[in-house]
Amino acid sequence: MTLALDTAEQAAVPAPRSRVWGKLLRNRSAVVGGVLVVAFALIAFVGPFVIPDDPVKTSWSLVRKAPSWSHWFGTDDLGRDVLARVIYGARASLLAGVVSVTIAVSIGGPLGLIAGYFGGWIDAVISRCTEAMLACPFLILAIALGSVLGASLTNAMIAIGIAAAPIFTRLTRAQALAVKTEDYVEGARAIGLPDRWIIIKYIVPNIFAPILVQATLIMAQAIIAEASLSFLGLGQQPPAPSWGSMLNTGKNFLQQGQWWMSMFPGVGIFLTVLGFNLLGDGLRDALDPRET
Amino acid sequence: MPPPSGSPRPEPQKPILSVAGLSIALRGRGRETSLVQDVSFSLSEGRTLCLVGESGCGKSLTSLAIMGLLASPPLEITRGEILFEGRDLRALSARDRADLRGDRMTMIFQEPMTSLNPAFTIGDQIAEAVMRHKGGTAEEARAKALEMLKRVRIPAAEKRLDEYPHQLSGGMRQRIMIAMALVNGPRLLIADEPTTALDVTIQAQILSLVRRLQQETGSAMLLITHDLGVVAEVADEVAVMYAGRIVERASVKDIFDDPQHPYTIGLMGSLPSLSGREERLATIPGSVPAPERMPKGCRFAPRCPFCIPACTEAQPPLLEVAPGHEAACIRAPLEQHVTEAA
Repeated sequence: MTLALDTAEQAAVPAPRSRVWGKLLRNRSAVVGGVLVVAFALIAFVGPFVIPDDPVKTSWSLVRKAPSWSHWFGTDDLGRDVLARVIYGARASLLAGVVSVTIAVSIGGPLGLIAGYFGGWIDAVISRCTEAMLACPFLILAIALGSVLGASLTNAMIAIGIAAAPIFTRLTRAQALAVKTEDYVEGARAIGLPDRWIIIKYIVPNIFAPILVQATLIMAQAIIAEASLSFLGLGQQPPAPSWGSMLNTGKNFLQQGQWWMSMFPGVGIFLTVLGFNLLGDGLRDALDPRET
Repeated sequence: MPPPSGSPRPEPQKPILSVAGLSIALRGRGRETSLVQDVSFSLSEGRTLCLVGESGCGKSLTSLAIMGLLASPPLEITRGEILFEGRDLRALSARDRADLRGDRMTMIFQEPMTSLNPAFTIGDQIAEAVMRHKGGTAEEARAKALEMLKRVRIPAAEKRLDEYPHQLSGGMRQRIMIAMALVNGPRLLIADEPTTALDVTIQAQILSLVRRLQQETGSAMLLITHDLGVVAEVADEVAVMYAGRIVERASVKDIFDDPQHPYTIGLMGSLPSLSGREERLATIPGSVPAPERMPKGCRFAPRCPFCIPACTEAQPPLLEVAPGHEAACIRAPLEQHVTEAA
């Protein structure tokens, strides 16, 4: 805000944005979640420039070495540096999370808006399709779609995005249903605004908060789904690193006590998913207008 | 009883709005429930018509039907004609009607607290109404919005332009709503209980503001209210609605001085008075029948102290009892019966 406000008034009615920030920052677990998410984002984007090792360079002399000063996280069955692979794997995981949630929101969101805002037969059609998709567990649906589309990271992201879309359709529809009966939407009609305009300027900004919370929580699920698909060989293809495929390899050597190949990518998945879940929960509490 | 204010103004010319035989029904699951029946009135430039009645009598539905904002389905206009500036609104396309809304005809709602979009600033919202209908650049629209804020007497208007609705009080928000409604210079302003949600001191300010702006712009106003004090303050003509029908229509002076329909008489009797000596306010016994159980005859008959057997036979038509004064009661004018009984 560029213009100075009366200080008294500002104190009486704080802007909602700063109030949300305040609530978020006072929530300890949300802060932990946020720090985890930011840390992994940094690792994914900056890490590859810092780490000297090539994640795909094999070495016959370094096969399955335990963690040491030269290879902090050890090496895998082809002599590749596990730390470098975990860092590059973070890229694949976060990318898969962001891209598939973006796909899910951009398919599910508009469908939900149309269903909720217009109602009638179009709502019936969209809702039935959504329910049919929701009847199938998210991960199973993603695996099925992934195997139909073919094995690659791109296809895995598309599959996860499509599988998660109905979650957003249902949420957006419910929110649009609630907001469209608000007086200000009636007011918008009374000044002759067209439906398209009302949806974009009146509905979307006012249902943004729950969508954001859901997107953060689904991000965690999408990362698990990507790891699962890669574990099954439907996601990231070798030799490119991915936490899921590293787990798949690592599991073969667990019984021989070579834990580092599976533990580090496992910890990576655990911490990012935990981070997104904590952040999502914190956002939900912070954006909830009922809580004081 | 508050005295009707204002001297009678010169008789109006061609009506801006004329509603004839408007009926609205709720349709669903093969049933049709009539909610508004055979409502007719007309409104000329610069005049104010008050639509009076208790909650659920169909006054808001009537105004929404004029605006083209009825939630349809399930609500539907079953019969009647709405002429606005000589054009039959029911024959217009949805697009043409939306072009009229906010431009030639606008509406102020009851709830200022929830009638503004919480996600945008005041300035954006008023400017939006300008740009939708008049086009132009964002700067021009903003300048127009600022000018309008000053006209509705918002202090520190420039600063308010960039504030969000939650930063303003109810009275302020209602001023914003009025600014939004009048920014394009409408010919017809519909105000649906604009002061009900405000406290009494603010009510008077808002009413006089609306009244002044209406006089400045010469637009017609349809004011919906259940507050007879408001009616006395601003109305030129009054239409009293009961259970979906207009039961009496007259100038504001005649309504207060010489009410003819027993329901109107009952309403007048239930007004608190400053000089009153009575301990209890008069009430009308009973309650409004549900729309699906309307009596065959006069809808007010079950509660009417003047009811005779003929009242329950057929619905009484709205007939002129004096020049410019119509009432839907077969016993009107009532004085003669009262004197007979005495």
